Amino acid sequence: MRRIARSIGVSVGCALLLAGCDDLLDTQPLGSLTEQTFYQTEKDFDAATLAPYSTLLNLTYDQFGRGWWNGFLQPDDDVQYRDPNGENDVFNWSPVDDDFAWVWENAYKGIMRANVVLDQLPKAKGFTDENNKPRYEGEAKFMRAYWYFLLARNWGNVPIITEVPRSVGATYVGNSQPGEVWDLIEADLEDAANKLPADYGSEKGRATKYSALALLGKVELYRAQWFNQPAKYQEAIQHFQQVLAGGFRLMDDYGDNFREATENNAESLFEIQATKGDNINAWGTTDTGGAAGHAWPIYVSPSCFYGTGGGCAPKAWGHGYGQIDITPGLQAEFEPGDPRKFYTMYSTGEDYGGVPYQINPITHQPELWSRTGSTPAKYNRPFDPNRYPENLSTNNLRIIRYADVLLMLAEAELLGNGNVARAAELVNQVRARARKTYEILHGTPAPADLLPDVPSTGAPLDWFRTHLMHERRVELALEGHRYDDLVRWHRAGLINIKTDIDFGTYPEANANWQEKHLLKPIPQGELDLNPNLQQNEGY
Amino acid sequence: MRCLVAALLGSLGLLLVQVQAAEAQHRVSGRVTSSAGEPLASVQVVVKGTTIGTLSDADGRYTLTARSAADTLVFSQVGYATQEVPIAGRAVVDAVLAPEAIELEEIVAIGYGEKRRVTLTESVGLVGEEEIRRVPVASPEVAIQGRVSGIQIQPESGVPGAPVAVRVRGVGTVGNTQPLFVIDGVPVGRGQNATSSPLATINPADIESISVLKDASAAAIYGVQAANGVVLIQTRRGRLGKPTIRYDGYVGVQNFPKRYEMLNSEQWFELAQESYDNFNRQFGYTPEDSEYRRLPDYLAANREALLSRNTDWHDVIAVENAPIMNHGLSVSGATDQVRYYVSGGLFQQDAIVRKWDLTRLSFRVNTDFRVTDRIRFGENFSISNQRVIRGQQNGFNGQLMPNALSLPPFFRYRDEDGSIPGNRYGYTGNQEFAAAGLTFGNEPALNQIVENIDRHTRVLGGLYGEVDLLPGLTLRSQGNIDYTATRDTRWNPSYTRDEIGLDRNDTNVEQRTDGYGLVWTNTLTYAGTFGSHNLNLVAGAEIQRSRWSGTQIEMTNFISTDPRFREVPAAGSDLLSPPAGWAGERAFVGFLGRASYNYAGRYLLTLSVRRDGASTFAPENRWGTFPAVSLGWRISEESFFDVPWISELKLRGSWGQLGNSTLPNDSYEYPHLFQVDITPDYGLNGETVVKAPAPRNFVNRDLVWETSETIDFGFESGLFDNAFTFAATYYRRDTKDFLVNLPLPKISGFPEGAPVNSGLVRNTGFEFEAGYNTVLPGRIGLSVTANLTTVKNRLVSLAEGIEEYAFVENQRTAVGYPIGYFYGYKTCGIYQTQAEADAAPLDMTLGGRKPQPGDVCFQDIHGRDKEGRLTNKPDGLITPDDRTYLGKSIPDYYYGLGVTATWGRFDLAALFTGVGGVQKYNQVRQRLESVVGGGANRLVAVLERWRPDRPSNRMPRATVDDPNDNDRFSDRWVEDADYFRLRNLQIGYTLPAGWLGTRETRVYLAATNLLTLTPYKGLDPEFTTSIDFVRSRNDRQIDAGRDTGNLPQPRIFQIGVSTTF
Repeated sequence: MRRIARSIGVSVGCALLLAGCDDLLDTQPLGSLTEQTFYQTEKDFDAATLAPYSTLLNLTYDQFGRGWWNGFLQPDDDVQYRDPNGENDVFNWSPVDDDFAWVWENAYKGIMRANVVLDQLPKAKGFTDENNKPRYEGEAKFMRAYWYFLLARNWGNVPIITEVPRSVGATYVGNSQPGEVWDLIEADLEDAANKLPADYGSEKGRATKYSALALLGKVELYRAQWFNQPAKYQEAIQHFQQVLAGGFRLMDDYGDNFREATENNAESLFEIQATKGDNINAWGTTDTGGAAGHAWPIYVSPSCFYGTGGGCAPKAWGHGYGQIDITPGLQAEFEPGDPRKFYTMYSTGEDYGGVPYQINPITHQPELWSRTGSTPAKYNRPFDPNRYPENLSTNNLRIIRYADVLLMLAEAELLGNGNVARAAELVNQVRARARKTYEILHGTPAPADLLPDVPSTGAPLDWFRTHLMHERRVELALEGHRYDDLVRWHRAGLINIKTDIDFGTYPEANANWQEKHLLKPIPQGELDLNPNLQQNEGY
Repeated sequence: MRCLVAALLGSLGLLLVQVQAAEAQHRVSGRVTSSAGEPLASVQVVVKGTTIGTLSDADGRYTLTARSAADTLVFSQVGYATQEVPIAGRAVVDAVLAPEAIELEEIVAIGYGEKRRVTLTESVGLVGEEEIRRVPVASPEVAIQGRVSGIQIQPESGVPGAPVAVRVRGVGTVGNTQPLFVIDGVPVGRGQNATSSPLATINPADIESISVLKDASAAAIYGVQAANGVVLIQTRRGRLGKPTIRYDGYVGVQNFPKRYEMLNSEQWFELAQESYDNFNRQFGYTPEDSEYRRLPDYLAANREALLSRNTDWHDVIAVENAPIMNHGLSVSGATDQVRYYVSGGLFQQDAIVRKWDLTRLSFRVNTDFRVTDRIRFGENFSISNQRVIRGQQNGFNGQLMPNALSLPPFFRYRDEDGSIPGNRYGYTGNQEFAAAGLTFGNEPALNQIVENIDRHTRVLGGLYGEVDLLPGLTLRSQGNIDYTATRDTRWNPSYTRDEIGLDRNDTNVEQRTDGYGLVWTNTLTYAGTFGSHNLNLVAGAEIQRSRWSGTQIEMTNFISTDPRFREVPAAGSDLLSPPAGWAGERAFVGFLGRASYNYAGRYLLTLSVRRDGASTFAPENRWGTFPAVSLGWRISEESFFDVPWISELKLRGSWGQLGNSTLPNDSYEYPHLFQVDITPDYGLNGETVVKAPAPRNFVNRDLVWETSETIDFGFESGLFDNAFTFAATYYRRDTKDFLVNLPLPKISGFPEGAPVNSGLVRNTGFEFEAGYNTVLPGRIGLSVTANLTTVKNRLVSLAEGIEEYAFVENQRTAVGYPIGYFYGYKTCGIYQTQAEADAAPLDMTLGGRKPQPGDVCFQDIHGRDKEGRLTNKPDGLITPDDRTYLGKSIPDYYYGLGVTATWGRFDLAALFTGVGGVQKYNQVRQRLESVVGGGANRLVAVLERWRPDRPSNRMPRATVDDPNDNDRFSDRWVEDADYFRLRNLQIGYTLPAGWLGTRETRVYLAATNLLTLTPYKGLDPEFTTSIDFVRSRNDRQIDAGRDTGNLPQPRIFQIGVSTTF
């Protein structure tokens, strides 16, 4: 009653030229939470810590490969853009490229979202137990480190922002000092490893202690090679060893790593969790209300090949845009009979949605769906002609898996300690699993000469190093590691990208490659807006 | 809000009802003549303060019985000055009526009051009811076009009910540039929302006048909402005299004023073949290469059969003689105690393409009651219902017209058996082409099978009460509600790729919104005369509060395809996505004051101030004060002024400040609060959907309203007894701290940028208005009015450290340039020879490729120095740096010219409007004039394409893939869009009074958009950018002037009648 009386009093008083009008103007936003109403309880932070993870979905939502795939997958020697004009593919890298800018933008968006959690956590008053706070801090720091690592290995000394900017001036941050961002990443991951739980019970998908340790080891391996700091190999080994003690194992079937039914399995350390979300509209990012999945299958499934007068794959419209092809180099990289090839690519002649791959169902002419005779199958096998929505996949993208950890540990042991025996033992675990996969796939025992173990003694170090590179390439093909691997090996002097790597059927790719391509150009829009930011050398 | 209503009712409760007593009777008769001595028929003769009255007969004679010999008679007739004559005991009272002096004696509505035009110190444009009735439009603001200087009106497109862009004296901000609309004293927003514009719901026949407050002095009384000017709309009220029944109606037909001509099938094939040949030749491909391009097998095999098929897609979508009609019936009248105006209207307009048909019903009651000599109250009440049935046009799926025109001519709209397009049981579409790589949706067919209906109901009305506290001192309290409810449904029946080229289930999206705005205004007005000192004071307070909310559900898999199941979805319908909802709230509080003083009608002064608070901003930044002053000197009233042929001369000038609190992005209300969006999702366990709330906005607590400061001065004159009038005004409008969404470095984590106050926009220009009235020999009355406005728009500064920003591709807002200018490459013809092409700069946007003969030459204008700064020296490379200014969407000048002639019972009126010094970006031509064959159809202009044997300097060579990117945004697509248009032409005939018992009946024939002279190659030079129906862009200049294929304004022929009983 008193409130009503007061309200009447204010209205009348205000209307008749008296005071108290500010009350009438104190309206609040409807339909959105504010700082005051959110970021208070454990439940709030359960939700809020997902925001930086959710940002991962922005990288891969687009069915034309915008962002991650066009900008970061294509420039390797495993795939090539179907159109010869693919600028990123042939190292015509430009500061005005949208794909680079998209990843840059979303990395910093993820960082901001992590920073918000770190900023609000100490202020939260609704926790039932203050001891519950560190875990949320660990999650936010893991994601912040993930994003900064992505930035550091692609753009070098990127600006560092560790607080939510509250003034326009605070957004004009310049390049960081050499090593500064790597220090931040390591510090965040060490802190995260200490604060994160080993698992979340039934709530899979959040970063665990082991996600943090595996990523930390990877960062240290990179640092050892990028900056020639051999001591970092030992730190990497130490952290990978902790992961090995965490109860992970390789799945018997290699294909389980790419099937929706076997997401978050015993081999998995961190995945992008894809789901329809509350909307099946896959045309926008989940930030804008779209679905919370990704668009890989439609991006890679073959479509029509325009050059030869038609000839389309089944369900070419809506299900496949055929944006990239597998290079002949990757096709040849697989050892004979390697079942991992089957899970990596579709190839000429096999059955595809009821017709032979590459055969035009209307003209029955052997016309091409792919310039190279092969398109990606990872995360997309079997081809599902009834997928709905056609442009959305809810299959998790695996970011760190145990096989990767084994191979990285092998690399650190080999290059850091020259320990061939240990490296061989680790690599052979991966090869043994591939043989098991053969048996599951074909229902027959693997032939004796299939993927034999590498010798644990006797092989020259050089040979072993080359083999390790080979093993990484086939085991982890199309999972987004390849160009990063090439860059760090080039920096460590193990290979020369320009001369040792064949980028495929577009010869200008090799011709165009220069040292500057070890880093990406900083988006021009950023340089235009931020007077304190300098472009990377060569752009 | 309940408390407001309670308070309002309380204050009205103070008003006491009194009844007046009757008196003795007195019979009187007489004759009414004009000042020329001719008898005047149909003059209303009314006993003042009563309903007693009569009309004069053809001889000018009348007889009536008054209440007493002391009564006063009121003689009135349209076109003559109303005269009051006391009976003073006489039995015969004759009257001589003088023709009403035009213009200068008008009463003009200004904010919270009105003024005689001669004593105005403010700059106000006025449009009267006759002018508003003349033009057949859905929305009344269009009627201002060409009538008043200083205001540019541009409908967004030619679809019925399209939003209208209104710009008062240039463009003041990069944010919302629409003026504030005020209907009968109630601020109702800016009319920028396509589906809820308060104006589109008004029946133009109900409007008595529209006043446009142009300068700060006139508008400052509206404070924080007035920076872009204010448009006051007054609806009709009853007039003293016998009740009048009035009917206005017209019916008409509408057509395309112009059409695009497309290639026929044979020309399509020729272009395709030439495109393939040129491409293969350029890259040296032979049939063995996988890159070799040739006609798809299906087309090659069926060429002869296809050549015989030529669908004219324009004819498929166009509706010939699309109907438009309007009917309005009103009853009005007044007695001493009551004035009333009651009306009903029906307006229907079909689009000139299939589907986009608008129907509006509107009702209005305006009444005023005199309770006692000191107490009055009254109400305005209107309700309207508008329904638009639309298809694909401007919808989410693109633009019907350009999409239809780009279909190859050998595609079919219907099957051979004539089955209805989209009928999933009969239609097979153009599937055979799909395998050949031609996969165009049959959009004209889609247009016929989808059904989107927007329903919009609006109630706008309220009560006021007035009490004369002391002689000259009046207290007025007015409370109003503006309530809208919309229900929009979007029905898409299932159609599959095999049928129509797309795959989709049955869906129905049902969106309902409601919103209300409450306004409570209290004013105290004092008017007094002390000798030669005339004083008018207004003080007041105003509270505004609005709230809106909406719900949307998307359903699919209906239990039946029967339309009735769309209305009430049956159990069994799935939700396509979860229901969505939204809501918002906003409040303003304002205190206002104005003092108008004049000494003997010679020296005029107006001071005004408003203090406003807006809920949009942080508490410490909420309040702003907006003062203004204006002065006038009527030199012609001075005793020393002795120029016989100058009957009126007034100098006037003003200075003042105005505010604008509309944020550049409406959805980010409350920029000072850290808000959290619940939109992003994330899946735990790879499937469980969890909300991942994320920060929504960059918090800017320092944000304040933008301020515009205006000065203007000029003179108004009347010559030869005001037969000739002329006025000229100079204005300068500086908008400071304008609200702009500043792009932030992405490292901030807020890629949407931040709302900030920054920069300065300056608009300067002149306004001229002239009028001439005369009677020519042969009793031909002639009246000519003309106006011209010039605009120079410049962005003087932007945020610190920022010189420009591009809000959309190809348009920029940069320091030293007008807002939203076109930015792209300049061309230099076509490379004619190999030698010329070899000498061309390397095109770095194409990876360093060189053009071929027949390719477009792009100019190398800029380079960069060692520090990487842009220079004006060519660097031998074509890079994005070579883009430059190509034109602007804000015109240098616009004008209107009205001519009215009367001869006996005939009248003729013509309105010309025009715009000069403006460019538009013709995106339709960019799309349809691309000389890339083998896909979409092209305009016949590509027949002039360059060939070695047939050089052309206008149209590049044909090739697939456009390797030289000839179609990139360049001056090829920016066209001069000046125009001179005969907007409306009417010929009317007035029937003698008494015909079929009528008082006055006029019948007329009219034509709209009969003639347009323009160099613009599109269908219509007059439009603003249209994105789609639900997201209007009439409020924004930064991306205005892009022709995306809007419908042109139709050419309308109409026949109409207006009659009174």
